[in-house]
Amino acid sequence: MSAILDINGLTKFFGGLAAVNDLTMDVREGEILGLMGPNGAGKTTVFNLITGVLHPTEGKVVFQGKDITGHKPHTVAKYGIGRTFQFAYLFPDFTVLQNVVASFYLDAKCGFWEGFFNTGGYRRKEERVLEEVMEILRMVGLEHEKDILGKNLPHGLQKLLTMARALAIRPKLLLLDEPVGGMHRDEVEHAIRAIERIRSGGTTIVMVEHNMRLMQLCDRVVVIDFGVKIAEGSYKEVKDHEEVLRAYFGKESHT
Amino acid sequence: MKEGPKTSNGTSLPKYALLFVAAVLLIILPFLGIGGGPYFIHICILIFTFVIVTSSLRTIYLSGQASVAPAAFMGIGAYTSAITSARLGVSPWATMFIAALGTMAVAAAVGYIFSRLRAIYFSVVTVFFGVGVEALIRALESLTGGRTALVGYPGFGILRISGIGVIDFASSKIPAYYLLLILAALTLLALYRLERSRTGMNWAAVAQSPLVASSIGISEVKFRVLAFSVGCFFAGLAGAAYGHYSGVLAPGSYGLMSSIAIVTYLLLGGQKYFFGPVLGVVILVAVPEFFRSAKEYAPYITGGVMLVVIFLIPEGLASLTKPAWLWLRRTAGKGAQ
Amino acid sequence: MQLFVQTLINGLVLSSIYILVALGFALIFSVMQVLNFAHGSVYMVGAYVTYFVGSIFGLPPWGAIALSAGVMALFGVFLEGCGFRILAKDFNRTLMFSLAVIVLLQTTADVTVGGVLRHVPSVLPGLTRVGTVTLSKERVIACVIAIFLLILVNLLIRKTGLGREMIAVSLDRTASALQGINVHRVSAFAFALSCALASVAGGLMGSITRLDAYMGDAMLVKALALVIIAGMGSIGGLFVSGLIVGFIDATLPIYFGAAGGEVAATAFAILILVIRPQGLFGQEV
Repeated sequence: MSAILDINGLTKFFGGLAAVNDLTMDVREGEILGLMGPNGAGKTTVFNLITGVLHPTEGKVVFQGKDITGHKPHTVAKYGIGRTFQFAYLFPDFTVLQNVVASFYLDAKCGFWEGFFNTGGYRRKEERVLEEVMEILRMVGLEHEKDILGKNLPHGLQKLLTMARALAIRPKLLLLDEPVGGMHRDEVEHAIRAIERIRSGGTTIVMVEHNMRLMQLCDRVVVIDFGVKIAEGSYKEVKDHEEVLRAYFGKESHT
Repeated sequence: MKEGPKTSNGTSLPKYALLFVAAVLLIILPFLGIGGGPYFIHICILIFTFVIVTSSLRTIYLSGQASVAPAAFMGIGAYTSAITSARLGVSPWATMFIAALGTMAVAAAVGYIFSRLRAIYFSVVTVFFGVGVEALIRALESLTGGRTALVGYPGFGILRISGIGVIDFASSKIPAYYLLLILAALTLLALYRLERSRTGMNWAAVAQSPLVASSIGISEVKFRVLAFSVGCFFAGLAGAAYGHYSGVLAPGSYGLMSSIAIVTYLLLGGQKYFFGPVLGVVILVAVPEFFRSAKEYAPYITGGVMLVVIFLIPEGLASLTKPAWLWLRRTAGKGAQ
Repeated sequence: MQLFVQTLINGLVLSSIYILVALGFALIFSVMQVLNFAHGSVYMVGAYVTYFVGSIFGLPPWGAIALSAGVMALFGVFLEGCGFRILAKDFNRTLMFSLAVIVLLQTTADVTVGGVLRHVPSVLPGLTRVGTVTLSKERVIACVIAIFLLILVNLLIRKTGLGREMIAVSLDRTASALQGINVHRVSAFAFALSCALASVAGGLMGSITRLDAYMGDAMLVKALALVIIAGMGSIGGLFVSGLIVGFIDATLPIYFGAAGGEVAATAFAILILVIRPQGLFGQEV
C-alpha cells in the first residue's frame, strides 16, 4: 500500500510551547489508522495542521504526492480531505437534513446560475442529493430526527450527525476526531457501521479515539504525547509499549 | 415555514393567494385616488425603492455580514448614473444598469478587503466606508456638485412603445411608479431564487460556522464577497432609478444616518423573514406619513413604534405572521406543509 | 506664525473634545460590551441643555455646563436602566434602540429650538494676545477644561474603588459579579460618567460653534474612529488617537477642504482597521 498522506517533521509552536514537535508519520491508502495519546497530546492540533486551519512552524504535509502544507481549509477539502470536529461542530440553525444536504456542496457541483434559474438539471441533481442524504441518515440512524435543528440535538446524536456529514463529503482521506465521544452503546454501533461503510467505499481513515471498540477497528496505531510520536505499530504491539504506559498512567506502571 | 433551501417543498395555498391579491392591489393602486394623488404615488415610489435596498441588505446579512453602508452604495449608484447620463449623453435606461454594475464592482473590491474582518469589526469598517463615501461625494465638487444638490441630469424622459403609445415620465409620477414596482418585483424574485438555491444555503452555512463550512469546501471569502456584491448591485440600481425619478441628488441622503435607518427597516421588519424588509419599510415610511398632520412631532410616533417593536417584538414585525400562518393553515385545511 | 499657532490650538481643542466624547463611548463599550450609537446625540443634547439652563436660570457658563452634566448623567442612568441593560447582548436591538433614542432626541432639539441659530455663551469670551499671536480665550479655556477633566477621570478610574470596579467589570463581567461587585450599579455609573463627559464636551463646543440638532452625527463617527484607532478596550490609547485625529482634522482641511479632510481621516481609520484590527494599543483580535 502506498502512502496517501506523508507528514514530515511537522512542528507547531504556540509561543514557547511545542504543541506538535517534529512529527513524522505516514498514512497508507485504504487503512484505518488510530491516532492515540492522552488528552492534550496534540492530536487535534495535528488535524488542524493537516487541514490548514493552523499553519505549521516547520514541516511538510504531502497528500497524494502534492504538497498541501498550509493550504487553506476549503482548498484542502477540495483536494479530498474531510474531517470531523471533536466538539461536534455543525450548523446549529440547519435541520439534520439540511446539515447533510449542505455537506454535498463539493459533490453537487451546481453552478450559481443553474441554481438561480432553477433549471431541470439543477432540480434533478438536488433530488438525487436528497435521496443519498436520506440513505445516509437511515444508515446512521438519524432518519427520524431529520427535521430537528442541529442545536436542539442531544450530544450523542450531534456526533452521529457529524458522522453523517462525513459520509456526505466522500473524501479520499477522512480525519475523525473522537467520533464516538459521549455516545452510548447503540449510537456507537451505528457509528461503527458508518465507519466500516466509509472504509469500504475506498476512503482512508485516520481516527482519534479512546474507545476500545473503535481502536480494534484500526489496522495501525500511532501514539503521540506532548506532540511527539512515541510509538507506532499494531494495536497489540503498542498497548504494552513502555512509553505508552508511561504517557497514559505515569511512571512506575506495569501491565 | 423555516427559511431553508430546496428541501422544504412548495408554498402553501394561502400564501399564493395573498401574494396574488397584493399584486393586483399594487397594480391598480395609482388609480384608486387615495390620499391626494401625486404625493401618495411618490410615497409608494419611495417605499418600492427602499424595499429593493433593504431586501438586498438582507441578502448581505444572510452571509453573516452586518453591513451598515447600504445608503452609501445607493449613493454610488445614483451619482454614477446621473453623472454618466449627463456628461456622456447616455440614456438613463442604460446608465441605470451600468451604474448598478459599477456599484457591484466597487462592492466586490471593498467586500474582499473587508472580508478579513468579522462581526462587529466588519460592521464598524462599513460605517467608516459609508462616511467616507459621503465625504468623497462632497469633496469631488466639480463632478458631483459638492454638498449642494446635483440637478440638471437627464430623467427617464419619454418612452415610445409600439402598441401602448407614449409614456412621459416628466408629466406624471405614474410611469415611475410602475417602473419602480417592476424593479422591486424583479429584485424580490431574484433574491428569493438565490436564497432558496444552493447559493443561499452556502451563505447560511458561512454565516453559522465558517470553520465547518470550510471543512466541506465552502470558501468563506468567496461567498461573503458574492453576497456583498449581489446586495450592493441592487442597492446601486435602486439609487440610480430613484435618482433619475427625483431629478435631485444630495450627499446628505446617502450618509450614515440613512444607512442606519435602512438597517433599522430590516431589523424592525425581521431579518430572518423574506418579507421582513417589506414590512419594515412600509411601517417606518408609512407611519410618519400617516401622522403628517403632527408635522415636526411625527418622528416621536415613529420613535415610539420603534421602541414598542424593540422591546415587545424582538424578532421583528414579520415574526407576528408566524402564528397567523399556522392559524390560517389549520382553518383553510390546505397547504403543502 | 499666526496660522501655525492657531492651527495648533485648534488641533488641541478638537483633540480634547474628541477625547472627552470618545472616553465616554469607550467606557460604555468596555464595561457593557455595547456600542452606544446614541452617544453623539447625548453630546448634542448636552450642548442644548447647557444653553437652556444658562438662559433660563441665568447661570454663568461654568454653572450651566456643570448643571447640564448632572442632568445628562441622570439621563445616562435612565438609558442604561431602561434600555441597554435589557438589550445588552443583542447588537441588532441595541442599534435599533440607539436609533430610536437619536430620533427622539433630535426631534426634541428641533422642536424646542428650531431653525434659529443659537450659541452657548462663552465661558471666557474675548481675545488674548500671546506674543505676536491673537487667540480666542474661549478655545484656550476649552482645551484647559477638557484636559483637566481627562486627568480627573483618569485618577477616578485608577484610584477610587468604583473606578477599580469598572476595570474589573470590563475585564470579566461574570467573575466580577461572582466577586460581589454590583455590575448593574457599575454599568449605571459608567453610563452616567460617559454622558456627563459628552455633555461637557457639547457645552464647550457649543460656545465655539453654533448649536445644531445634527452635530452629534459627526461626533459619533469621531468617537468611533478614536476608539478603533486606539483599540477597543484601551482607554489610555484614546489620548494618542485623539491627538492624531484632532490634528488631522485641524490641518488637512486647510489643504484639501473640509470634505477632503474627512475623506482622508476616514481612509486612515479604515486602513488601521484592515491592517491592524486591534488598533494601536488593543488586544489581539
